[in-house]
Amino acid sequence: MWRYIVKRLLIIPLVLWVIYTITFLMAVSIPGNPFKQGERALSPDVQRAVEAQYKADDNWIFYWQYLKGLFQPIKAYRGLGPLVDLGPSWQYRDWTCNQIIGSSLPVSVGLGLTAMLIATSVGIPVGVISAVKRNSWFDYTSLGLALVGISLPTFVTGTALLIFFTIKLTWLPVGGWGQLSHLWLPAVTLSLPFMAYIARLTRMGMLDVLASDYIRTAQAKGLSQKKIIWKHALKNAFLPVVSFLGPASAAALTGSFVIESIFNIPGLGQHFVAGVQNRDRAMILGTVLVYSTVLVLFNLLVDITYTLVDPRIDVEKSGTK
Amino acid sequence: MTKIADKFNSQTTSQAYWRCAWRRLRRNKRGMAGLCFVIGMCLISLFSPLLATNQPIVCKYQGKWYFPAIVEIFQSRSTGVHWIKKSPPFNLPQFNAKKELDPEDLAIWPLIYYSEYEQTDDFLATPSAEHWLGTDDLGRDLAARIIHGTTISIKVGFVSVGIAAVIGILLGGLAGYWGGWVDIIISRIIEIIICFPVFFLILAIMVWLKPNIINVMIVIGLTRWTSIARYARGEFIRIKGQDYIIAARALGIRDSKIMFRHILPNALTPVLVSITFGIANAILVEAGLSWLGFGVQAPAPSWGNILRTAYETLRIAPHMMYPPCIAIFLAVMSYNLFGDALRDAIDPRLRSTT
Repeated sequence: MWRYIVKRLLIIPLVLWVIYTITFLMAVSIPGNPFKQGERALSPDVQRAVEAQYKADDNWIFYWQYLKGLFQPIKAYRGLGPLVDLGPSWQYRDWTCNQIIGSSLPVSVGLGLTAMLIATSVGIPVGVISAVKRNSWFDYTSLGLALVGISLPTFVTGTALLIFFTIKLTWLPVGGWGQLSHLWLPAVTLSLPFMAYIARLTRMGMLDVLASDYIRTAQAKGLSQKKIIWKHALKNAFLPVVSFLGPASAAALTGSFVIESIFNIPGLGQHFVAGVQNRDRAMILGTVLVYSTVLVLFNLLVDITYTLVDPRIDVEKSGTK
Repeated sequence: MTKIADKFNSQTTSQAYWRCAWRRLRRNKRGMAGLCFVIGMCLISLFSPLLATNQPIVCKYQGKWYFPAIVEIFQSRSTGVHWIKKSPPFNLPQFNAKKELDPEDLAIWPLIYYSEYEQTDDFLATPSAEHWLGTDDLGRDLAARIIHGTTISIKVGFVSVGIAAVIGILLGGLAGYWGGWVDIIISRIIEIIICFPVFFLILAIMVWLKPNIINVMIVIGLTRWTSIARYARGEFIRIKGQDYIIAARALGIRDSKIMFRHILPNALTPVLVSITFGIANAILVEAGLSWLGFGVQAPAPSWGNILRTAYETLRIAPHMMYPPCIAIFLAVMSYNLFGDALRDAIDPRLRSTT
């Protein structure tokens, strides 16, 4: 188990390096750079000096400098700089990417965590109850609602919730960020598709598990129905949910651009898109790397949870079967 | 005696796998409703000129017969490639068939006699007998735009997932069949693609290339093949150990033939489920991209950019919001319903219970 985790942790830098290289190649291939589109044309000398300062004139040097800045433990230990330096932003020249991402990542993470919390705390009980009471009205209603949740894009549900709660009922503020009341609508909107998926996966897993022998044994032993369902059955029915939770939480944490644009939230997603639109190479690389790191770590977390929940699964062997 | 023997025989004859699955599928009402809706959408997109265009299906004009709307079906629309040309007066853009035709001329008009690009004077009109779903901010008939937008959703769904399926099955199959180094390399590629923010990839390519429908389809296809590849890999691993494959190998059949003739047909069903859900997802992605302005570009109609216009004029014309929402919802839901039914139909564990 520990060997496996260490092995995976050692692969992570390699995966991130490949992603970095691919992103770099794509960012280079996008034509144009932000130094040529100011309000006033710079004189050629100044232009060249600015480009040299940001290493925009030599892609090869930029590639290595940026890569070197990504992990500098010695410099950080001596207090000379941050551990991970994402470089200065090309577009917002008085900001570094660390500052921009540092201010927007907590917003996205807060929103994403709330959304995932709502999704799991509603989705799992609903899935369990509808599996236990199969073919009852509760089952049909929740299945129907889950289908609606999966089939509606978030920009539709977001807009609908926005109109209903802020314009029709005026219970909540229209948009912005900073108070608790700003969090509810985007978090609920973001959680809806995840909630629907979790409910469906839990229900399917539960139906599988409830038909298995060890549940019958537990029933024969005279355990209470409550204990069988919530303790013995749920533990195994949880597996497909776990494998879904990994990528889903990563996607929710790093923010969905659509939701941020509907509710006007200063999250990571907007910098992501603005980076591409401004040809801000440092920003593009920074956001993609942050996003990828979160994704990679969550995937690892899922695999570890897998073995903890179900010791029958040997991740070490199933990886390269 | 013969009766009993007959019954015995009919019970023990093994049924073809596909026929079995089809029978179970047909019993699932929701799944069939989904399938019917998907087929309905295909028909709508195929025959959209007969439903909504500003030229008659059949008409007699100055003593001659014309079939402009029928010709339009055979022209591959929105790309400018014309296999068949319309006959003279009808091929001119300034020729307004509605004004030129006399009332006593015989003409059969489409259900909605507006084309998706035709601008009228009353913009943001509420639904009426003239405009069934109202008009948008440029006075274009909303019903006509929704109908022609179907084509894009269908195309995006099938083409992008088609690309994804070819890549996914090929790579997944290779990984599953050969194992070893091939498997390790392909699995790592899949892992990296999964860790790559798809949205960024799409944006970058959209900035790089021209944002149009074909690029959207290609990009979605190139990024969404990983789940199909994983299913295909699993199935190939499962099947390659079976006796008939070992027998085929012993007979000296080429590997490529074993892979595609003998394993693939049996590996296809779980992959098919993944493809169905993939189509539903692709429609959502396209709608989201068009909503953000990175997908299908105006004036071409797509459900996503119709919704965007509706979102911008929400305070003045809230009626515009519902049709594209309902269209997207129904399309995605019908694919999901069909996918659910397909999975239930081929899942061997459920065979005894239902």
